[in-house]
Amino acid sequence: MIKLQSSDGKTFEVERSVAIQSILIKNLLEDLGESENPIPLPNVNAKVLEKIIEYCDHHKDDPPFLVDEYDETPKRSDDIIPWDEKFITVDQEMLFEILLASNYMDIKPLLDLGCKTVANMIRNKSAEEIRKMFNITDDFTEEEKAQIKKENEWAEVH
Amino acid sequence: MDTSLLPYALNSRHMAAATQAGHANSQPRIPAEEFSHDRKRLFAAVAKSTADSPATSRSNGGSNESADVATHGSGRKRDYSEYVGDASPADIDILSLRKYPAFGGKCYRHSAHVYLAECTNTQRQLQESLVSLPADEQAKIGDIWRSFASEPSERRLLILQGIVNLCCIPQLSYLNKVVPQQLRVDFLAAAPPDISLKILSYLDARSLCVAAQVSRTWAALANEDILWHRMCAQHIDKVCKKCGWGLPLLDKSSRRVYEATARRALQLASNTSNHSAQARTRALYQNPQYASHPGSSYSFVLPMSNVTVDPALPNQQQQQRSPNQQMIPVSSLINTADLDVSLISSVCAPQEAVQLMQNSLQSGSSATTAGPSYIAGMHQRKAYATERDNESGNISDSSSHSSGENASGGHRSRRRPWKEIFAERQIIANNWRKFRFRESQIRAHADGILCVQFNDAYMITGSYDSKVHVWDAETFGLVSELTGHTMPVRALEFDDCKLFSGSLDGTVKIWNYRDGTCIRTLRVFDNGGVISLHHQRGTLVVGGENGTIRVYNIAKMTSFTLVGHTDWVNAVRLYGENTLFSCSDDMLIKRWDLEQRQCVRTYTGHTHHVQSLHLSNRAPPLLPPSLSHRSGSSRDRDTDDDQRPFMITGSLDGTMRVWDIETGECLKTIFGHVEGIWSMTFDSLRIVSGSNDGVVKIWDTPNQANYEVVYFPQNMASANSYDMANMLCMVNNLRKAKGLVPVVYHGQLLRLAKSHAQFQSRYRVVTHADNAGQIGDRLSALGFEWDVLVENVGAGVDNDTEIVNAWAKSPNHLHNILNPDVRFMGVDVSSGYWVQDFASPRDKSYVVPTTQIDACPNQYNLQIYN
Repeated sequence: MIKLQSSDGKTFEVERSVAIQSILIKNLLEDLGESENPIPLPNVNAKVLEKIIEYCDHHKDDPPFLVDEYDETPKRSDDIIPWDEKFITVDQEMLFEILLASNYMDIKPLLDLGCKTVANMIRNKSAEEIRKMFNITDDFTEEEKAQIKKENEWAEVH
Repeated sequence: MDTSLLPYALNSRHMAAATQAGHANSQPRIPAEEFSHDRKRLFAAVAKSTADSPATSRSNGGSNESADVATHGSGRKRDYSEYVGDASPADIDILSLRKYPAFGGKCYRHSAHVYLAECTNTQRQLQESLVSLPADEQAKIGDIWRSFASEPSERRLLILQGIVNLCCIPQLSYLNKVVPQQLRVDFLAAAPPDISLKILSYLDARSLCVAAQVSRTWAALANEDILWHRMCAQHIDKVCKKCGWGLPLLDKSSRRVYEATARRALQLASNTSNHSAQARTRALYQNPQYASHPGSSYSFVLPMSNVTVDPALPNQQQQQRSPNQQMIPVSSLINTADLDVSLISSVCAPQEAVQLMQNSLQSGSSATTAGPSYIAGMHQRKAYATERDNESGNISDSSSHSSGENASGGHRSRRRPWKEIFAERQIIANNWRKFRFRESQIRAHADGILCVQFNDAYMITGSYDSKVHVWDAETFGLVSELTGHTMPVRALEFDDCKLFSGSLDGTVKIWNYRDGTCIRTLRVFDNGGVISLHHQRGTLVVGGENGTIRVYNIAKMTSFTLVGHTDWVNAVRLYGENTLFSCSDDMLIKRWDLEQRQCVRTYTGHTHHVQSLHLSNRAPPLLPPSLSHRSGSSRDRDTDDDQRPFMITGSLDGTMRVWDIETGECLKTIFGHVEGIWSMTFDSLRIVSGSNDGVVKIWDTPNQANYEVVYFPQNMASANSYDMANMLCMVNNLRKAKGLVPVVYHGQLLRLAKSHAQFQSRYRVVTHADNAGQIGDRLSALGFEWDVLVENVGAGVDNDTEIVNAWAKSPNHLHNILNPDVRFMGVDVSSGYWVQDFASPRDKSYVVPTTQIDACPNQYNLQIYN
């Protein structure tokens, strides 16, 4: 069993197969060996860590995740499996925390899942809808806006 | 350590200090600057954890708290503008951008700079409200805020619970309203850029363009070169597996002046960039932390902006129809010297004029495009360069390839953003889809034109009048007239310095086509003319009227003859070092080994003269994906040195065939032309074929709903009216012969046919697609509730008898005419573009007195039902 400690001091005990889905932890274990001391994860709070462990536990038997970053085939975001979809149906704050934590802990499938989810939130929306969805202030001047609209016009017509 | 700590401090270690500071300050004010202090400190905190490698973060253990960390210096900053410099965003490794930790598990709302502004703003408003209160009230409220701010998060929670408990409904209602909005996260602005870019990498071009209009931060990210490079890689010169779109590959020979548009676009880009866009992202990459990341850097060379560019466009030459002829054979459709240019095809017929159609930009300006010769650093980018090399080296004329390199190599001054390149090609792809083009016409010869070749600078025509004319491809002014052949000129091939022309007089002449001097005359055949020729890397192959092929080594002036065909050799094509393909009137295609000097394979299948033959490493469109994968996918190309090109042949039997050159298997037979195909060419996006029926067809990719669009030469026919009685009669006679009930005219179907005929003539295209929507929807919109609906379209003939006869000869069209279920018909013609619609109403009680229209002709037939 591996002990993980969240930023707010909570300790979680998980199976090795669950923990090593985080490449960060996997490397730590390989470099330093296992020990009784909990592994501190100073950037992940307990709430998020718990969620992440839930994900890793569900996916502990998955085959290793291999993806070529330079693969030119188009990335899909419509291939989220139902369990993942349910898992990632969380409020924006948690989704954001999951993104950051999965990036920090280097859990690529989870990072992908988070990114796909955000991408799906952006897709097929107007700029105004996007601003509303993510509470973004429009910081363009009217002039800039007109210009940017013009620059991107080509994509409108299909 | 910064002592002017602020109420928004987030970590317990700071709290003591924060509290003191807060108390020391008697004003109930939360100055805006404090946010930036706060921010700086947080960045420092983040920086610290960023700097920690995983291993050290372990040894640091739980002590890794922001208080310790505030002293650490540089690190990741969201404020890119500090890093704007003049270095280029060269060596970037997206992987090296990977490892930043979260905001140290801190509050995202008060750390991401996008929110600071908002919070500051709110703060200012709050202060304004405060000012109106009595001083003691101000102090009291200020104290409450400050005390709350100074508490650690668990205690804040406790306080809030208490407050919420004390709240009345209106206050809770207020919370309910504002809190959800505040909980929204601007992911792209708040997340580290590598995550933001990763999110964006899942989006399509359209969504990226929308994202670029959201805010400055979003614009900077969504215009990022990495994303658009990838987008280009997925679409240019191939059909994207995800969206089904392909964009043209444009290079030297399809480049032309487009400067005005290009420059304008660049200006736009630079105007916006100084504020945010590129500057910010570039800064990001100039941050030494990323730039110096060891071991992994991939650089990509951006395309140059000052390479000339092109009217991009699908040049097409088409013949003009002389008034007294109804069908004109399109006798040659030859690709330019470069095969890898985007579908630049030329078509000409034995007429005296040449017509050119070019897709034009939406803007209407003379169209455009850059030929960016994208080339790239490592990894897969290499595949591009390789592909181009292969493509040019193996298939197209080598000299044009090298000059392409020079063109791009010469000017490396400016780089164009990949987004601009994508946009430019998207516009061209749209032009193809929407039939937007520009048309020019030149009176080129005194007699019919037998062959045309062109590149970006010249267009060269060979004619029945035994002459060769060289034209400026831009102005269409005559550059030189080459005289010397004594018989019609049947074949042409040119590169940067010389032109080969083959004539029915049995000779091939080599010209300096710029000044019109003949350098050399080869007497190739004594018994018949020259029908075809191909030149590549010093080897000239000539196909003859007598069925023999002669192969010259131009440098040594040696030659030998290949015997095998028994009739005219219509096309010869060199491939690689030692392979030659030829096709002939004897209906055969042969593959020759030039070392062994013999035929090594014969491809059989065509049932008439084989007129044209082309090769490509890329799978042509219309092939099922399983087949195009065979040698078409980039994966294969990386590993598979033994490249197997696809071969497509066009024949007077009216079909085109796609062949596997190794097995001799015919992978696909493409039907569609009513008469024989004289010439065709293709690239990875579409096939263009010219037929004896006077039609040039453009075959688009199969996953597009409207994948076959058909261009007709202008003035093919101009019929605007037809004999309704005769039309109905002919249709009903066909139906009667099969024992089917006759059809009658229906008002709504007549209207449907009319509007679509007008659509076709306006766009000069024969298609079932219409900008007013799907055919069924259009009919429903007219108020006709139908359950069967079929449509025939056609063009190029002037009267009703001919069009019905033409349809009756084509099985698919006849099938529609003989549909047993239909009861009503609508027909119309506009400028020679015909539409015939048949339908049956959903309401079967709709009785048509079919017996009375049995006799034909009969005035009663012309009753129009509604």
